[in-house]
Amino acid sequence: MNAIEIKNLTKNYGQKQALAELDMTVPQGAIYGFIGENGSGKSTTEKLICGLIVPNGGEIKLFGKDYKDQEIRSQIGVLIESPGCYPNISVWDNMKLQAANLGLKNEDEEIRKVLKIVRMEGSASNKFKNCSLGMKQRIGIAFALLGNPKLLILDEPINGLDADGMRIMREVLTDITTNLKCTVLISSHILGELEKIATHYGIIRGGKMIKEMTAEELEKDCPTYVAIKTKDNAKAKLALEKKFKKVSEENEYIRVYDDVKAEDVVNELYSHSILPSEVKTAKISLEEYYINLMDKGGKL
Amino acid sequence: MTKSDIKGFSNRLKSMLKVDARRMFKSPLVYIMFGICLLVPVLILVMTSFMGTTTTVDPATGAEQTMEGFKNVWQIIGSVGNGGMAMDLTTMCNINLVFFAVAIFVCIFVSEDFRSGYAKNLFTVRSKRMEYVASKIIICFAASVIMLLLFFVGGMIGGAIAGLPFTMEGFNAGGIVCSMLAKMFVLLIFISIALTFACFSKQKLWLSILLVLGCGMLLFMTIPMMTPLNAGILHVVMCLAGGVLFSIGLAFVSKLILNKTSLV
Repeated sequence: MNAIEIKNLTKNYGQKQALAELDMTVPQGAIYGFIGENGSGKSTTEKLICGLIVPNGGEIKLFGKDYKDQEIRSQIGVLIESPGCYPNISVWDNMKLQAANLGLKNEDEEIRKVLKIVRMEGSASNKFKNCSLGMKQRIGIAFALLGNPKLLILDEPINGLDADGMRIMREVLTDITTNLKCTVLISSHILGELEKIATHYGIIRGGKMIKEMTAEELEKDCPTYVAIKTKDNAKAKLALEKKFKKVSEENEYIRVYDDVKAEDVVNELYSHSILPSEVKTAKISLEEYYINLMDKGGKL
Repeated sequence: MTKSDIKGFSNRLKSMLKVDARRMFKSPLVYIMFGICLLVPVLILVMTSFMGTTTTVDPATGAEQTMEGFKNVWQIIGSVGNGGMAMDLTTMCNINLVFFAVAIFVCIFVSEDFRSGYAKNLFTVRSKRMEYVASKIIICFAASVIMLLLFFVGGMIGGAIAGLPFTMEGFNAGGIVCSMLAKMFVLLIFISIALTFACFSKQKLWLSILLVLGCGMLLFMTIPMMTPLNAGILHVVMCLAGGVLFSIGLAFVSKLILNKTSLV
């Protein structure tokens, strides 16, 4: 059973079509990286799943049931845009409200647990409005984690987090999906961070899902290459093209995509009396893959 | 399992009431409103008794206009008889001001859910909107009753400070009790109207206040007729019926608005 299954989802804001028959499948237990440009429809999709806005058409199923099903809805944790907290009351009191909203039995224990996870135990008595952006984001994550949700929907949760906050976030998400079998739908523009945790990806453009894939499929589409830098890249490229099939020049580097070792490339250059000033083995990142995909209109 | 059973309307309503009650009594807003309701009658009675009766002359027509102050403490609670549509100081500046205070309070209280973004947390885990609406009506009614009673207490204190007589002419203690009960039930009408406008306006607090004040102005003049000092049990029953019918009807309208419109 899939955690989220969306078919032909459509949403219009007046004349503007935000989602155009969007299809999406999030398997249970996955960390689904939801990627797209600004205004591509990520937040709209997430708000629709949460029942915060009304769709114009299509179907949303959560764990095989209609998304309006009360039992399913009570098991969703959400952080969309910014944490929904009352500014004039303390973090602890805000958490108590959410605990009551979720109908938790051991409120204080649960709150302490999630505040500890996001390392905010010491700031529980602060008024929410006095918290920094990063602290607010952590509180938002704590809010979403309250009550051990089966599905977490996080919209740009890493924004405003420092390096430590991002690391905690990674650990938390990996932990809850591994140990609690929680499914996570996460959208972010920080693709480097997303790449470290996501097991599945969905790329949206203009309100349409242009690609859905697993991390393994992405791995196959993102080959390892040998990158070299020389004083005369044009000459080096010509020399390498005689020996290797896939050679290209990108960002001041010559990349060799053939399944070869760096030594083979360097040897080939030596044989043409060319000295490389820099040699490295790298892999196409999610960010690069995404940019290439967008440049090619969504088709690679 | 850490979650309690939130299946069923009554259980969900209970948990929603818990949220609203906690929020209401943690928020300074409710205490400010309580303070206003306690202080305003004291200020009205003390200040008007110092001013006494003032007469002004219209320079254009030469007509004299007399503004009479309070002669009796109970005038701050209501007037005897059907009240008519009089527009004098005692019918304008009395306990019925609480109705406006309540309407504004409801607008701020509901709007805060949407402005703070808490509505996202609320409605993500709650697909049914009726418990939200019902809880808001119940909790705002409880706060409004306290505000009404505080105004009553403030009126008594203000009357005592101003040295106004406590004599009852044309009504008795039972009439005052019935009048207060009738006012409490009429509060339900104002609460449900304000709630509907607040659900419609969401983050736009100014719009909900504008709408509710406009609508409240129309209803304000009918309050003295519905809740006179010589009110009887019939007034109470009629106001209860009106209050309940309005709140149920408008609760469904509010629910419909929340179901059909975007919440963020």
